[in-house]
Amino acid sequence: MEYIAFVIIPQMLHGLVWGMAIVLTAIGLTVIFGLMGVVNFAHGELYMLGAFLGFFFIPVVNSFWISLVISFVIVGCIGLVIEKFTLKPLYGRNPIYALLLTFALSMVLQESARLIWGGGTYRVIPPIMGSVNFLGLIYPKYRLFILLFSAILMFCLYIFFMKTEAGATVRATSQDSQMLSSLGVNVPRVFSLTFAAGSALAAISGLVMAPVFSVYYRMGTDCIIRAFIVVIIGGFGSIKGAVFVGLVIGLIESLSSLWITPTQAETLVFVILIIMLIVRPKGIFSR
Amino acid sequence: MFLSFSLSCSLFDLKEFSADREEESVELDKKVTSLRNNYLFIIGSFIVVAVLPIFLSKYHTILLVQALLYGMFAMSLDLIMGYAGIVSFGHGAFFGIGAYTLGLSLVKGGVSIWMALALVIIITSFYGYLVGYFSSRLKGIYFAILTLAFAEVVYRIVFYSDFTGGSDGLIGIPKLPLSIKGIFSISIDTPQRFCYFALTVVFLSYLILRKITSSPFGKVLEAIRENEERSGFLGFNVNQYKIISFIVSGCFAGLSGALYSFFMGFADAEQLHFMLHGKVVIMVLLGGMGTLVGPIIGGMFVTIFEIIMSHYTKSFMIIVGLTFIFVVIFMPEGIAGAIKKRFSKYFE
Repeated sequence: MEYIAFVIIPQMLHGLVWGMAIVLTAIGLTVIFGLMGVVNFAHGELYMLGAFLGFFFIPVVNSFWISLVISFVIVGCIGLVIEKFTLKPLYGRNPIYALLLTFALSMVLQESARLIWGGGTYRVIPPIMGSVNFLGLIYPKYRLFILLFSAILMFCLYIFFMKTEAGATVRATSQDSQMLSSLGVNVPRVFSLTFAAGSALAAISGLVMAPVFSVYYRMGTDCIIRAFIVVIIGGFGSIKGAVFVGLVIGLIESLSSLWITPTQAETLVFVILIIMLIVRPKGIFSR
Repeated sequence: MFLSFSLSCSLFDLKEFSADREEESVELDKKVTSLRNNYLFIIGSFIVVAVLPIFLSKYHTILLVQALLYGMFAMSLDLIMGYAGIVSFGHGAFFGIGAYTLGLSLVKGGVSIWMALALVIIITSFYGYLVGYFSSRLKGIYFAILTLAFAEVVYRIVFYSDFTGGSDGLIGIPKLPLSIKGIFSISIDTPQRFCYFALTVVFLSYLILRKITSSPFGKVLEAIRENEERSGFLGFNVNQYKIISFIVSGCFAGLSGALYSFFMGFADAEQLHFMLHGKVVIMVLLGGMGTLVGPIIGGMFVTIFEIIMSHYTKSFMIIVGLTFIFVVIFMPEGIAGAIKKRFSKYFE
């Protein structure tokens, strides 16, 4: 009983937080793929940039929340520029080209971050300090806040996609962009804005997670592969799948690391991916 | 200068590229064939590379060997990417497996070099069969991601196990002479000698791969690339063809990796890292898919470019990355494609 209360439950909460980090990046990735057919390798770097920009602006504006907004806006603009100048010429070609392009982009962004902020590891102080004591179980408040924040964010996304006209347009465009174009919808603009929004979402996730996982220039690479796995297993383009699989992967990884080493737990995730790809190549929630 | 000229050429061609690429690709295929049959060009470049080590300094010879081996690696990927039309995003795994197999069998097994090379072929074939068997059913981006996942597992196993030297890598691979007891023994301990050895291997593999691609087997691969469904209807076992081409390609990639670690005297996890998977695809793209010679040039170019850039600035990855972006956007047919488009009349 004590084992459950003091080992399993905190570990499950860790797993959920880690799962949320993956889910928040994976959502942007899966929406971008579902809409434009682009597998965005640079998404992890946008996550990293969000964290670094926040780290940079927190001492300047003296507030975590304002710098969250700033990095949201800046990374959104970077996403817009990337889409306009590099991805646009590739539409209509084999998706492998987009994969290669974003791969090269991630090289550039990662190296630029190293150039600007160096190769060190930085800590961001959580904006909410203290911890909750619940039946003898002590858990940091900020991590609980992350769970709440992510849940609210996902609920907002759900409302956006299911209840608003803009969301319906995005969904319709991913179904049949030609039809939408002939109905008078500005499809290139839908593409640009979705890519920018996905990038900005990655930035938010990067900064919100920064106090838990530290900030370093390779953090994007560490996150992106996990996010990819989630997107693939969940079914390319499926938000529901990304949320479900992301949380499950986070839980599996943190719970299994009670018995095996964390690196083995990481490898386990890849083995699960391979098995899933062989059994259900199009993912669980594929359309 | 020549390069910058070809770059500007491709800029002019940009609009045509996007227009009707479908029709052009057929025409381009003919031109590709005409270049491929250009014996003069191939023998000429072979002689140039063969004469080069005489004039080069030791440092530049080392650079040339590295470039040659990466060129061979890129050429091996071209068999499946340019001919069978399947893009593997985990091809670095073959390179790394080859490097580690040779290293481990020489350092820990103490076998002869021939035995080690045979082991490389056996193990890479096995890995190729394993991955090919499961991935050949998938198409396009799904195939790419599955190969990446397999490669990532290999990376983790190598990186975190003590047997392979883990994150320190495997050091002290001896440069054994190429010998058969009592018959002959050639020592390859200097970069210059190794360069000739590498050149011979690369040239032989080129001849073998060319033989394969111009054989009926290669033609079936091209048919699969053009229309997989129809090739199936014609009675070819598409999956089997894909698996076999994957294995053959993997063997050559493994060999190039094995020679690389043999030459450098060490194997490290960098040779399995996922940067390499993307880089080799770009090497093939840069050189021109489906030409075999092109990817060798592309591989050599990228390797030399990267090493030279790394002398000028620590952040050479930015320049390399920007170059890749430029290539992907403006030269989807690669350098060879761009040059051929411009000078096609001279090759006919």
